[in-house]
Amino acid sequence: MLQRTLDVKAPLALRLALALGMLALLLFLSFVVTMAIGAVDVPVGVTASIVLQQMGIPLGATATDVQWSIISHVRLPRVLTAALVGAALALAGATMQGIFRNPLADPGIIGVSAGGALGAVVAIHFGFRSLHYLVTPAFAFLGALAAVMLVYALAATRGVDPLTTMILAGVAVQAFIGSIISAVLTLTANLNSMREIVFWLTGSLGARSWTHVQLILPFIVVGSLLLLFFARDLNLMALGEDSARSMGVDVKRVRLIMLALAALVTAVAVAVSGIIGFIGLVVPHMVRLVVGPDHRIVLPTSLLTGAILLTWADFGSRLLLRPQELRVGLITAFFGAPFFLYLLYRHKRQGNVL
Amino acid sequence: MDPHTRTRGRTRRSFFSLLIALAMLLAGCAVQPAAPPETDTKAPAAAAAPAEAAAFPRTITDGAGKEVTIPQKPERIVSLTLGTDEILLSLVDPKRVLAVTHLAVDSLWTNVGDTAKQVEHTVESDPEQIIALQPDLVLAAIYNNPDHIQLLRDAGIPVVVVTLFDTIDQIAENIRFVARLTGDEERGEELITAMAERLASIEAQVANAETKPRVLFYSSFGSSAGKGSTFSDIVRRAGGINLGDEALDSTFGEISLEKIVELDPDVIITDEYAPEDNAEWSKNFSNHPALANVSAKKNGRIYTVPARHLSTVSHYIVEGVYDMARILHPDLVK
Repeated sequence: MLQRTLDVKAPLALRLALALGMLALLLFLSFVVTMAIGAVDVPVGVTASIVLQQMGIPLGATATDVQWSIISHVRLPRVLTAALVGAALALAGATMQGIFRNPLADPGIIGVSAGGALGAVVAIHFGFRSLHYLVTPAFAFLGALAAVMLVYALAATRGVDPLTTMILAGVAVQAFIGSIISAVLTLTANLNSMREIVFWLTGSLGARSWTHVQLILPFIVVGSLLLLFFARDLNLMALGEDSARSMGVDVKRVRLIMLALAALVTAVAVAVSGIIGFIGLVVPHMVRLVVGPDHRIVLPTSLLTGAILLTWADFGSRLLLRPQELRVGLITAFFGAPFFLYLLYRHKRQGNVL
Repeated sequence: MDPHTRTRGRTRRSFFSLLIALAMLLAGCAVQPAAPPETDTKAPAAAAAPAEAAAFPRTITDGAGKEVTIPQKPERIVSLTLGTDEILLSLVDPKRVLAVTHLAVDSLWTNVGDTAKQVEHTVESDPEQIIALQPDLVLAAIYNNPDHIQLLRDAGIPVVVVTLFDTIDQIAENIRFVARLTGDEERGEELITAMAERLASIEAQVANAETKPRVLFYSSFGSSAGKGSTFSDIVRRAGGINLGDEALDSTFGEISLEKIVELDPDVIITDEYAPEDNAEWSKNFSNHPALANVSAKKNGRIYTVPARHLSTVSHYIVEGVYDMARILHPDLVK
């Protein structure tokens, strides 16, 4: 019995350690390389030494004041925000796909992104945004949570299974909020706020400060670790609700907790980045191609892969039209959509569905 | 209860508290950027020059209510708005200005193009580019991206936010404010006096006009300017009545062709924001059949005022008042 448990567990732990170790290393390298290039180029060695010094490891070359300022006040908070947001979106995406057992589920499916957008639009349109730089994130966060609660309330009534209804309610709420946003966009005569709204809707990680990192870090770290802890339950639920229940999983409760956690980390991510699509949809599919369907591996590797991909997508948004900045949401959609189609095509050829 | 479940519950709880403790730890310490080494060794330059430099460091409260300390007389100034570009370049030696906006060298918008070309850099509001310049004062407006302003402040750069630009009196206040920031109060008062004298002379010339023409602004976006806009102030001082004051319920807003017909303005002022399309647009607009019976059209009084005079929020706005006075009272104004 003991022998058997070990046999099953050892390869999992090994595979997990290997995958996570490689991804973590890749993430650190991505940080250093993407931070080195920008309006002012800083040698990779100097960048690495600044990052190490920030982590309390005094190593490597000395930086000039300008290099220090730019890396530690502009680029480091920016890549950290990118990594945290990417991690949150990918993990939430993998969780949603698991809960809804639907390959098309993404973090926005229950209205989080739309609600966040509405909150931001209110903050920008009514000029609250200029009161304080954290007003827009606060409004976006509250809007995101309000929309999710609305979707849940709509779906949970009358003893119907909320799961299917939630997707429908999510679609309806998204469409409804979309119409309000379009109305604001067409009615406003203020070109400046119109630009800001469109900018927000295409997602950006520009000018993120340490305050943004501090704001989202505790939510995303705690929320993600809790989600990872439910990976086993997600595996059992993939077998079907009845089987999961017979294995001792309180399906309804676990599902609700996971949905709430996934919605929370998404809301936090949306609050500081605007709407960034496709990371939450595509990353779990990519990851499953390599590591298989076990959620205990899929969730943590999705998290790190999401962090790496969004770091590079943000880098692309800074680099492609230099000195102008593209919106990172455009980059993720531009590369994410064709890649998704490729996955679809590949699976179809193998006779599988996603 | 099944013993297996119980064990699992207990591990789960202790795991949770561990996670929460870990996250708090991370949030608390890891994210605070360490102070850059060697920054402390750089003492503020000793105030050698007596007169004006003695007044620094000075702490001022900016338009957004933020207290900003300027350690010494600024010699490396970056301006992020066209209004402050124009004020700065009239106020201080251009050598003290490190960067102005790209609009300051755009002949459509700028009143200080020649001076601005002497300034080494033009900037968008990209924080990296600005930090790299190591400015000792950054002038921004309330409509600049608040995230960018915060990043610059995080990097230890004094950023002052300017908020007043709705009336000509507020523009005078802004000049006084900027002059205080740069330590050029005397020159600032000279500019304000010159502006006031020029305005007084124009207003005196139109004071005896028999009628006040009723004026409407109409942009190629289909919007007009109402109460609280600089346009409204320009028209009033040039001896006219801005119809947008009553017709709009906000500073700027859309206005329909029907409404223009109903208002029947004596004079219509259009913009030149997109000069390449503007000739075509102007022709189409003034030939629009709906306008056939509007006084401005019947009397051939549809005009364009240069954008750099009409939309400036510096002392050059008196040029806009002058242009407008010439249009409204061609017989009275020289």
